[in-house]
Amino acid sequence: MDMSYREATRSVSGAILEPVGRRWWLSLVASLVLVLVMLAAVGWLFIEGVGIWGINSASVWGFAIAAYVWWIGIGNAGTLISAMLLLTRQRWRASINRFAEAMTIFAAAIAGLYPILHLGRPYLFYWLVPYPNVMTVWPQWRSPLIWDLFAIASYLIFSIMFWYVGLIPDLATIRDKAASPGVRKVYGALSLGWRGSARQWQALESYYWAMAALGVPLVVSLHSVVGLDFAAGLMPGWQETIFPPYFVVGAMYSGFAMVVTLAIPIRAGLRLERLVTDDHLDAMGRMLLLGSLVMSISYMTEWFLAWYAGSPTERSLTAFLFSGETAPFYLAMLACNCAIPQLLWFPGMRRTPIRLLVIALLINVGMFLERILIIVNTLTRGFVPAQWSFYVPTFWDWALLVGTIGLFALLFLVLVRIVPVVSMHEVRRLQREVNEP
Amino acid sequence: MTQRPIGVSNSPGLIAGFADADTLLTATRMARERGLKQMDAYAPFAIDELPDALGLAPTNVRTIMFWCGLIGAAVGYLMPYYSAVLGYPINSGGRPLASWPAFLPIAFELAVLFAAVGGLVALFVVAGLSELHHPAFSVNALEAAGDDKFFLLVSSRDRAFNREQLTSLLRSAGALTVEEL
Repeated sequence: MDMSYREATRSVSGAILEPVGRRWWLSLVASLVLVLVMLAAVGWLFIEGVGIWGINSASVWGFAIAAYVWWIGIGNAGTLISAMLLLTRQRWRASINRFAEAMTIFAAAIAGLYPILHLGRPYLFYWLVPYPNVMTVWPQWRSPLIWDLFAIASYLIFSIMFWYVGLIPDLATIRDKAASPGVRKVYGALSLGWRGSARQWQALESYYWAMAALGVPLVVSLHSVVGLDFAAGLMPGWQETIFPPYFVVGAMYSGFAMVVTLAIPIRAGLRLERLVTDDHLDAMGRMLLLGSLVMSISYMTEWFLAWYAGSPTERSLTAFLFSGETAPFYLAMLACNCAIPQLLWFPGMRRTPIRLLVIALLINVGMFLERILIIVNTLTRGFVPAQWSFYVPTFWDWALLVGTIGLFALLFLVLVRIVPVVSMHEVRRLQREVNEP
Repeated sequence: MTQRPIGVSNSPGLIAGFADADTLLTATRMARERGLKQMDAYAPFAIDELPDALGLAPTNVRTIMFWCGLIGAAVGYLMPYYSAVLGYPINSGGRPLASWPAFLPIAFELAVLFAAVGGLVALFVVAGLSELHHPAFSVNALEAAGDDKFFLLVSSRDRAFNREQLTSLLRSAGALTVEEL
């Protein structure tokens, strides 16, 4: 990446200060349609209840919880990119961390909807919170589902603060560049009077790095708690100590895949090829390859330990994974998560945007498959054969999932118009090392 | 010694513009060697060496974050402890009421949350954020500090201030512009 400080500013702020093209409008309309679908799905859910979904008395969790885990996993990668790559001084993060963190906030917010929606009585969701009540009861502290409440709420608030603080200097730049007084006032208020003085930078850097140091254990603990939602129970296929780290790596994996899925269109749409270069794509491709290798080892560990532990239920469940009704989906998952990403060993696959995009999309699909299969395979093939069942997703399951994807897209499309989508000040800082070695 | 550089931009003096971070740092260090203390610098990105070059004391943001984190951990542990042991103890199979492993995730999450919020408040106070009317905004040249220019401001109230000497010093250090504030 080689550009002057001024060019870094221009190429990013242009997306906000200049008029927008037809592609943005078309994408916005498409996402609005999907958001309407989502609103219809949620509305019908509130009217008719969870029976509109494919859940039954065996598979009590279906798409809702799979989608919850999928979205929160996607969200986690934004923090890992921002925080983990910052702490390890991987400067190439500077071009992608702004929208990766925004991805975190949107994904975590969407994920947080599902635990409310999947309740039989969603209007009672506030019972999760320890508030003074006339029943004088408290939440069940020993349940990972309550730990989830604290983890996700903390994570969402943390991510918003982390992202916003990194954004303040760029908002000030837009304030100074804006032509109309109205725009100037808005960004002036949003940038809180940032001047770029040495003291301000010193305080901001101190906070930002401390937050990054907090963010990595927060992400690890958060997704471990999500893994414990399953692993703290007794069900076959769930009660495995590998679940917390396995879920954390899965989150990093699916999240990086989503970052790639976002970065390639944003880069093309906003003409940011000089800032999000082929080297960035190459680095992200390598992260995806690493993720696929670790996930492969995790799956193999599960199969091995199911056999080694000797439990007949575990063994029969593992055999079912490959031979039962859901076997095609399981094999598809292995293809998307383990086999196809091995193509990333080849530089040509990593450095060509369209190929990397296809692999990343397949990983996103594969990771959703993984989440739904973890839930459905175990619940429909539990300890009691008389309870063995099927899970068939209904139209409303799909509608809600697709609708949330539309909401995510909508939030992003609006975001790229109001906020610099690449962190200008961090790119300039990176450029200093190139210009002045 | 603690610097209070925020007042520099509303006192008369000199403002020097630079094209890159290293010349700014060189000029700042040279000015400090001359004994100048009432200085402030503006940049479009964070420069690690700049607080040292200006003689700024470290901020207390992280200290505040640490203590807020401890408070958060205490809250996150004592709340379930109180409810499970004192407030509404439930004997479930003779298991210990103070089931501390189950309380740790909540304690950790609240520790991080409290540290983050406390640090944000500390950052706003230290950086003077939400001071929307600051004298620096009336210095038009400083707008370029958000884009591609670096600035050093020296207050004429400083005892070691000498306009001609300082101007030639700054120009020799590589300043593109040296103007009156």
